[in-house]
Amino acid sequence: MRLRTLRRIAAPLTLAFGLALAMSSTFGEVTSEAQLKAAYLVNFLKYVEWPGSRSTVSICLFGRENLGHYLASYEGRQIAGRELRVRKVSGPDQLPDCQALFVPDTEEARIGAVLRWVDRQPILTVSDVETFVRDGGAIALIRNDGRLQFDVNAETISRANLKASSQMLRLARQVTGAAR
Amino acid sequence: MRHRNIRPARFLVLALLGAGLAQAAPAWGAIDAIDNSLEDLLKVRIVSTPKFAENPDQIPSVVSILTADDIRLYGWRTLGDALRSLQGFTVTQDHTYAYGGVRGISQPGDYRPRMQTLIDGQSVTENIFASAPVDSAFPIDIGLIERIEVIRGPSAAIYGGDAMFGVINVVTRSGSSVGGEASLKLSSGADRRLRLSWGGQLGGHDVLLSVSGFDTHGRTLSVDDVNGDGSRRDLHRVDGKDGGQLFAKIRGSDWHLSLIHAKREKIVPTASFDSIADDRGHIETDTYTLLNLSKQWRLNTSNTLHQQLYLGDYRYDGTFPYDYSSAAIADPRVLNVDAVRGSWWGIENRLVNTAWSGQRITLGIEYKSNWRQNQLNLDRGYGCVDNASTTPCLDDRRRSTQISLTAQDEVQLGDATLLTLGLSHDHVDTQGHLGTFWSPRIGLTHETRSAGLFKILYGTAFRVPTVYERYYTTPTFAYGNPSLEPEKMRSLEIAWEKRFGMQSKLTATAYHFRIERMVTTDDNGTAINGTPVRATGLEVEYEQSWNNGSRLRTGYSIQHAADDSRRFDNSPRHMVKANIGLPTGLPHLMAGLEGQWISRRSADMGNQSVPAYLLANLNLRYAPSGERWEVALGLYNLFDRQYADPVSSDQIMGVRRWQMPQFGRTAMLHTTLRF
Repeated sequence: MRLRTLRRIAAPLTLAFGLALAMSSTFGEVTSEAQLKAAYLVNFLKYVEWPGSRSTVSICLFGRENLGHYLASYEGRQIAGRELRVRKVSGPDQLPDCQALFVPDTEEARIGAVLRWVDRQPILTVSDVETFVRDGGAIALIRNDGRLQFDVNAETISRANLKASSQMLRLARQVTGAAR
Repeated sequence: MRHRNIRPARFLVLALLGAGLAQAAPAWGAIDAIDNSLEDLLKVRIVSTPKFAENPDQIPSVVSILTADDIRLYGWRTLGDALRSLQGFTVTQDHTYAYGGVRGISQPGDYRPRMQTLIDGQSVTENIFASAPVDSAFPIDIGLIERIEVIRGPSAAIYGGDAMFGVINVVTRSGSSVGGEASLKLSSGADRRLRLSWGGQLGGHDVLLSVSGFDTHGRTLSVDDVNGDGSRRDLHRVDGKDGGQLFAKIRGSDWHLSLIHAKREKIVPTASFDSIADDRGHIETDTYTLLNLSKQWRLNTSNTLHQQLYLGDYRYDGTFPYDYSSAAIADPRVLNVDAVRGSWWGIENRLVNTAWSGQRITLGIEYKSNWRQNQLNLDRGYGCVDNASTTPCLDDRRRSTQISLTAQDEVQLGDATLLTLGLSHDHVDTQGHLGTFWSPRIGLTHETRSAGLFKILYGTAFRVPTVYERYYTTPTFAYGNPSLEPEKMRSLEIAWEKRFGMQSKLTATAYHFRIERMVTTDDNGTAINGTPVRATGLEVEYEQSWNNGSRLRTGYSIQHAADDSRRFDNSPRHMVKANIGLPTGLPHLMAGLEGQWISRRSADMGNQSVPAYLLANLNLRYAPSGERWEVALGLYNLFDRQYADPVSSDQIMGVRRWQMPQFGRTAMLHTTLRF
């Protein structure tokens, strides 16, 4: 009875090993949509330059959002030499210290107002509303074929006095407002 | 009982101090947004779980999420190890099975956890005992688990009956995140477990193939209730077992196919059911086969249809050696055999509609056929000795069907309030017992600007008696009762969640529920519908993480569950739990510390009790970054405390058993290699 099971599965095991050695595994973790959106939001900070120098970088989450849960684990970590802060905002008076602002699709109705508040301020606006870039936002996260992609409005980014890296623009699904 | 324990409060203070003083360490996380590049993120696949809202904040009851990181940090060996760290949960062990219980309801001898256990959305609950294993019989290797989502509160409106106290959804790792992996565990009692897994992308699909095998010699345990005179006796090969598990899955962008096959043979030398003590012929075997095909159809921008076709097969085989020296037969050692076979299939359709602004409507229809629910009991070579007949003691064959219609609407009321309205209608046809059930559910979540998040859930649930509860009757075990009526439950719970900054969270839940006609046993051990059960409780949990990688989750539960005559057995009034993850100061070495204090529990229909116990576990995990290996050493029951769990009352050689001593200190060495 003892090692019978192990012996019985020896053949599939050998096969599995063979396969494992023959194939190189590809990166392609499976994750929840909200978790992935949060990851993008943090990751964009590596590809954008803000005017002046500062020791912290703040992601602000507007209204009733659902990324806070996933962003919590990144708070306090260093990204491009700056300490990451995360906070929730609900009005224009809370925006001055934000470097990135996330507007969730549940707040779609207020996008126009939010974009007017941040106009020409050095704030990177990100949303998961598909039409966000057309509405004048900087980056839209778009779900496509089981993956998440993004569109960039280069004009909005330069109006905000920010600099997006060419690598980010190259990876975008669509760049509007400027030549690549 | 010895009393050299550290008191829970002091234990926590020490741990907190330790956490505060701890050194920096690398952060944890399945995908790390800082270390990965934008290119990496573009390749990540999104999992959609139709039954679950994306955001735990929008579910009108408390949700706990345990991750693969937690499993590795604390060295959890089974699903039960993970669940017992949660507030309100207990796990009880009688060395045949471990039983999960929640909110004070875990009566010895009751096989139903009354929670729905799912693997990637497919129910594991079998259709004979309606049990779902939480020990080594759980059909998936714990190393393949990505996360465990636990949703509390009656959810029959979405998950059907058996989701009385909530849902445990086990989500498996993706093939790509597993890659090539070999895991070897060596533990006390000559316990060996090997897992080999391979996963990756094949033709654009995510594929995972994994096999595990385990073989445990078992340990020696001294008991005083098998000799008939109260003297002590060593039982050998306790927890001796062997078995294997196969798991294969393939996932495309909108479909998923998985196969699970698992078998465990367990040696039961404990004289359970009054079999011959310390006899290796007492073996109980559980075999699961689960097949699942699901597909998601995006009909248009506002309608998505999720379909699932599932098949399940469960076998339970038990051989029980009995001494029939008193009967006039040649060989007095008679093997009594249980052969139980349950098979089912079903199809589930779920339409999610978001056409109306601020609303998410889910409509579902499910058909399930339990086409085989057979229970056979016989004495090998004789038929049925006690009946003096050559026909089996029990040969019961059943089948049943169930149709469930569900509707749920999640309505956004203003900025901060979400109303959840749900209703399910179930039609159950169990040969001679027709039943229709309406299960409404209403929930509200309200997020305030500074006072935190409030959740209220009122819900109902039902439970149809199992074929085991209704029909398992033999000359020596008169348990089944064909006239059992379904149980019904009503529950109200109020939860409050408050975040302090992004790194700490306080959760409190108060609940009250009532179960009518709960299936329990009378003094003769026959299943009956009991008097109304009332239970009230409060669960508080505090979570905090620090930038250096330290983390803490600690909580307290107080609960009271009783029927008209007495408090329930195996229902501790107080529980204190703490899980602490600490960097040790040495690079890449993390310590995971667990403490659980469970107050006194009554046993044997309230006539006996087992004392309180404090259990501490320590797991040291060394995972050098950039290396393809890691190693962990786990010490369970660190202080070698003697404690016992209440178990199903039994008469062994005329002596009544109501408790089972547990193992002392146990060590496990776990090595993982990646290719």
